[in-house]
Amino acid sequence: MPAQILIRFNPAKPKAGEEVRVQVVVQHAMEPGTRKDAQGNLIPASYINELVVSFDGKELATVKPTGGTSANPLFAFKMKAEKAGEVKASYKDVTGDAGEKTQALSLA
Amino acid sequence: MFTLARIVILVTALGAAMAAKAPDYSRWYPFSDAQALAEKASRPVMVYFWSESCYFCEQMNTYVLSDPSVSKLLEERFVVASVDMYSPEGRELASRYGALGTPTFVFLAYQQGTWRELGRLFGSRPRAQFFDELQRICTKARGGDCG
Amino acid sequence: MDRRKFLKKSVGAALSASLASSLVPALAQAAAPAALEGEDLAKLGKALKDALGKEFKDLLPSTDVKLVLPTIAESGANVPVEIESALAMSQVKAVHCFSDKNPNPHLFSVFFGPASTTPYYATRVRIAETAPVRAILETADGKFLLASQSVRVTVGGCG
Repeated sequence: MPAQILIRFNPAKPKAGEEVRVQVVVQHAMEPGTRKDAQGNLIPASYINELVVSFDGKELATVKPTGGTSANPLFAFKMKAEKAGEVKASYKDVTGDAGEKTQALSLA
Repeated sequence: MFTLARIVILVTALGAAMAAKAPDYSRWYPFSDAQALAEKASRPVMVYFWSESCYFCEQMNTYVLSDPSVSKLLEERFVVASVDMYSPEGRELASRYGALGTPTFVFLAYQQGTWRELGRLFGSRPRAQFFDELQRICTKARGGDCG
Repeated sequence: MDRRKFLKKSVGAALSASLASSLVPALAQAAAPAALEGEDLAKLGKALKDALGKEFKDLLPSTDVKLVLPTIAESGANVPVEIESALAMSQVKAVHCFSDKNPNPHLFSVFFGPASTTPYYATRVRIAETAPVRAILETADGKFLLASQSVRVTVGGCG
């Protein structure tokens, strides 16, 4: 089941040309594959190993996390807000699970 | 005579158990199962008292108890009992063994017909330190042979 | 039920260490950089080789990489890390992050795309035990610039 993705902007409505912080949070356990359960068995690895963030179809950044990124991971970027548009975040994890979310960025 | 009979029964039981399936010492057991396994195999028990909400247990589970050299030593020389400190059984065991918080590790050995405490550790540790402490306990239990 | 009353056994040690590190290095580090607490160059070196095909000596310590993280983490499960650079975006290809003593020292890599305007990335990472965190900025012309800082991971118990 795809994980829930939250995208937030700070400031929420930047002025044209202002720098905006794009914050993506994915509700994902990011199991590193080294954790033992209450019976001493290793919990299999299940973590996001790719997150692509784009603005109006142009790639902003691609993150390659490992199990070294915390549960419910935060991914934050900064960009100059020249125009209104759409920020899209899509992820894949090592088990083949994937999901995406689009959030409109509007200017003040 | 009695002792001999007992050894014979024990060996037979052990043989049967091994023929059926060798115990998997890489996993952790409920307290009474761990004690039974440990008595049969003449291994010390590491009773691990943990709790859900304690970050320091999480730290032990994710990085220390899963560390290859630590888990190898535990698998080869110990039997691990996994005890949720705040379950009904956990509360009873915690008061019996005087575990005041988590993570607590109580080491027990079956010697001359009775369970004796070999030592205890409270709190999380870095891997290398926990490994050294395990080796020290293992040496105490077995008089060496803890490579 | 809140059982998270931490008995921080290492607080004394942590305080004295942070006190020491704030007093001593100004003199000592000017001459030769002191080893960072928890440093494990053998383990880091192997991870660098695997992830980047580089060795530690290929990395150039540089003030062009700004690494922000706490010096003491009460929980190694959730350590905020921020990597930033004043270099022009056109000069920056990627940032990579490592911590010497993690089972897998490579924490993440970020490759900046055509829409990026600012070399900046922030996240939260898991740190297994007290060790340096390494921020490595890969430039467009193939250099690997390094910033390092140790984070002390608290050990203790809950009572």
